[in-house]
Amino acid sequence: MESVKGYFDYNVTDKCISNNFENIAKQLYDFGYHTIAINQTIDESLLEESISEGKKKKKIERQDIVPSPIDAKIIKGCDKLKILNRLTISFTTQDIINRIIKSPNYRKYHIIAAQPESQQAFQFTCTNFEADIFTFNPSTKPNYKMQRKLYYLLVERGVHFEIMYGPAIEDSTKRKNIIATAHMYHSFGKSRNIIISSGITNSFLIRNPYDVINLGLLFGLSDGQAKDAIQNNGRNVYMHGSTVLEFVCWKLY
Amino acid sequence: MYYYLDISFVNQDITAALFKNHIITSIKHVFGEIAAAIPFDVVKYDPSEIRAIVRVTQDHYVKFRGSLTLAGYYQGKPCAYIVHKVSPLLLSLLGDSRTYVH
Repeated sequence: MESVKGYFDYNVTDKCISNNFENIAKQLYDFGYHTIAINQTIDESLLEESISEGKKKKKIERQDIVPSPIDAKIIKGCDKLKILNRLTISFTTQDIINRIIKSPNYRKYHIIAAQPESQQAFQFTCTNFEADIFTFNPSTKPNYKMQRKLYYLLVERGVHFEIMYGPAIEDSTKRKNIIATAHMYHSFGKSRNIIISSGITNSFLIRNPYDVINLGLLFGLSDGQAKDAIQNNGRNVYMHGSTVLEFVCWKLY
Repeated sequence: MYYYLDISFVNQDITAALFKNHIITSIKHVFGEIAAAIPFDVVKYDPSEIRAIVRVTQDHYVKFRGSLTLAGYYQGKPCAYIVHKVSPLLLSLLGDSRTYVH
């Protein structure tokens, strides 16, 4: 298995790709982030639209519901930069998951993140769904009730909880929600298995890893946990992602 | 005990007074009025590079640095603070084992 090094940033949004990605990647690399993941989100509401459209125009080719992963070129001067692909699934019911898992594009992603938007989806994520990262939408309050038991269930299965700091810089409502969620993780699960990622949309939002560690303290983590959040836990996510992938392949053949 | 921070500001040229004022506003924005009253000093300011050495007490260091991280806008335009080095000893800002060339 390939080794992953340096600091981790698992949430570089796909908006950055069209918008001067080279510059952003270089900045991240200079700061010491040697493993980054490009995030692509699929939203349930958008999928439903495509289904209804499909019914109207039956003969039109049915596209894959999962977009194909963005293939980022190796950037000059940062050869050691490892770029992964991450898929975030935002969902309210589990029906959509089955369709997504069957898609051939699904297996091309290194990391899968779940973003449940309802109590039912949250239960499903905790018990059945093989995700690597558990994330949330910073612009709204969570629609589900966190329980200590379910938190530990996710921890046992090696799922990591994501906190992003990019939206917290942009907007004060998002900042409020992010800090509230971070403190919720603190009170329910003693902030175990937390990763901090950027969620950046432009280069002004990139922050130094040491700033991020310091920010971790404000999110209710201890000194060690804050450091783990961008270093060791990031490595664990990668390992978890690749072992799940291998297991799926092994099952297929 | 004091911490000394070597920071620079990425946006536009500003004077030392405006620089300090913006730091105070950023703290106020994140932690409110009471936290905005924490004592800190701009020890040295270089307007050509918009780079400064700031000192803050140990008790307020985490909040202070946190609000620098979360500062995103200056007069409606995106901005950022880059923290180059932090040390409890002013002399170590000059050089340390990380920058030492053998």
